[in-house]
Amino acid sequence: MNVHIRLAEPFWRSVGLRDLDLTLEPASRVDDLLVALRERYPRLSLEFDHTPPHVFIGDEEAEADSILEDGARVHLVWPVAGG
Amino acid sequence: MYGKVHFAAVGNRKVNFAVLKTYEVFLTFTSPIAIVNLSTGEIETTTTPDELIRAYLGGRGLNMAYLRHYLRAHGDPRNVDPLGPENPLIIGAGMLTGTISPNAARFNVSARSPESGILGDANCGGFFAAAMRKAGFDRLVILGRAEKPSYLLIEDGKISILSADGLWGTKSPEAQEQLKARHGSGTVSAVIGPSGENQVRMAGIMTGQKNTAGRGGMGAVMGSKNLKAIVARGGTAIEVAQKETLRALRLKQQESLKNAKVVQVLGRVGTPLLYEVSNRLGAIRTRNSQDNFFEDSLNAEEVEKFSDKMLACTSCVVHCRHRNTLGGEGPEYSTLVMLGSNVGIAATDQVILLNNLVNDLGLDASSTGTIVAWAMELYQRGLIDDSLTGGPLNWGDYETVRSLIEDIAYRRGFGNILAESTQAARYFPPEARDYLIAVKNLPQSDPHDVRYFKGFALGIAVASRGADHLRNRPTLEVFKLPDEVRAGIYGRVNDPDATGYKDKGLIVAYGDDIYAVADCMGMCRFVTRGFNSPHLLGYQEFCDLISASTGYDYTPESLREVGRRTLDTERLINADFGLTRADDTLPKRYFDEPMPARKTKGHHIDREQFQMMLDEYYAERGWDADGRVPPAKQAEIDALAEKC
Repeated sequence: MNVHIRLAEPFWRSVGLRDLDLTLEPASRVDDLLVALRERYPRLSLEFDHTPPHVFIGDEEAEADSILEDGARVHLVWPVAGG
Repeated sequence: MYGKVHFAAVGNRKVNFAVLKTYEVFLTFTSPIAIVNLSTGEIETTTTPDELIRAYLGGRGLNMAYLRHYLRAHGDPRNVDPLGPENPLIIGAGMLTGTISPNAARFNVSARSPESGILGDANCGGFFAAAMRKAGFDRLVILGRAEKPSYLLIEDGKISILSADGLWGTKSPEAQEQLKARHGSGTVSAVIGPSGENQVRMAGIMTGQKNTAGRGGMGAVMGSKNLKAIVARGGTAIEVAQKETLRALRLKQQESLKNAKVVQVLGRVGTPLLYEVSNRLGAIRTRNSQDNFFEDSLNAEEVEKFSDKMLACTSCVVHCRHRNTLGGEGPEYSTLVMLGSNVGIAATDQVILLNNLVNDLGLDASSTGTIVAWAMELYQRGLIDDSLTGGPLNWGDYETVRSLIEDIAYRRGFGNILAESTQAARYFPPEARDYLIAVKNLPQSDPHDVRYFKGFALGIAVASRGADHLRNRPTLEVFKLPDEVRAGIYGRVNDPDATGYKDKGLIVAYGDDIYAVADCMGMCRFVTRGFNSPHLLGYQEFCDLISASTGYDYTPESLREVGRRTLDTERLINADFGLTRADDTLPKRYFDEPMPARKTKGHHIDREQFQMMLDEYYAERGWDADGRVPPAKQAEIDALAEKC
């Protein structure tokens, strides 16, 4: 299945892309997605080590075991909220 | 090894240097003050009593001690007209401002606020405060009103009151350029723009193109005194107690800060970083908080397209400020939202142009964006119409917003009404107040719709100057930190649910205290532990810097007590203005209207649970159930006031 991923600041800097698509096994979970991203983008993996992303599927915040569906739109956001 | 070199200074000039013993250096930090009476032309210079320095350090804390003293000198502070000559305008540098301590650039401006009617206090970075200290003074207390437009020149420990002929009427950048031309390129100025001259209640004091002492209308107070500018020139480096120790601390702390991810990211894209995060969540103030998300066109990488350089303040290691290609600096996240999504404008270039406009005119972007959006919603709802506004006020109409901002600054037409900020409510139907996003009559400062994170809501409800995030925001709520880490920061295990109501008094009180201490020291939020990262400078690092810079020794606990004392003093000032527990509240919309979309959908503030948060907060602060400072604490602060 295909998943569309949007990387927020600063994650996208280590990939060079704001948006990318990934093919995963059916019924993959969010943690499967993060593993796949880490394997494909080692610099992004370092970013995740430093600050684990908040993961949104559509408008909902997802957990590591949330199931992804084909065509899911995933947004990986840096956890910060100052002002 | 013991022994002390006793050192005292007025400004930078040593007046006494006596070697008492050989080996240890101890510095008496005297914090020179000038009391300037613009009505009489009298200028008195003195130093700050040691007891006051120990109790408040400098910056915001000492400003509060002096503000309370001068407001009470008139009897009942409620009789002090915020725009009258009796209102003191106090400009105080932080204790470490101008030293090589990391990000020690800041100063506070304090007075009775003409915007809120209560405690007014604005904090600002840039280069002015360091220059003021180097020119001889840590603090100015400005009284009275000049007969004609004037400005102050501070030079080598002396102050002159000069005519502002040719300056009055200029915008902020032009005024600063003229002053450089008059007094030399090395001068640094704090000025008001046309909005301050016209006593617009949300006028700030500007230094550089964007740095603003923005909150509470301090620029209007300056304008009411016929004071266009304060210029600092000359002087020498600020003496410190242990130069090599401070240098070593600077290098060590700088290294640590540069390793903090948030510092790296702020240095690359500035605070617009925060827009996408809050927008994804559904926590962006949009169309006066009727909506909670907006367009992606205000994301950081869109702003970056208009930026050609990142700039810094005195001794900064972060470099968070954009120089934009449209003729100004910024925007910050706050301005991006307040003059973008909050008024329905999505075009990045238009928002940056509005950012530059408010800066040139000397307006507080937060209040301006909030008040304009309020008026737009009143128009949308038919509570006001063309007969009052002079024409349509439609969301996203750049030209209308631009001209309205100019009209506010020059007090023209409907702009003259909005120039009254929250006090414009008297021109509108009573229900207009239901749509005003303000607390204690101060418009909310930041872009975050606080209905989701309950600690954020409590924070703006209790902030001493009114709705403001920089007094106490518990930003670590977002990180989902492990219990043991949270306990280490806040002193005990606390509920990790950021959307719940429990333990929020604890974390807001923590923010209150450490941010107040940072303000007393003149340090920036972006290096202060708890603001966006748990890895920044905390009480121990602050103690080390104070000791090396001034010779004053604190423990983390005694330093936190400075923060508590500052909060207590502010509470007492507001009590003099008649504020009670009932004033620690939120905009009606935050209680009554659930957030409409995205992850935050359905969240609002439950009134009963809010009162529970207040109870807990007062207990954490050591205040009584009505939010009053206990008599013993008041007696201690009253005794200190005797020293002012």
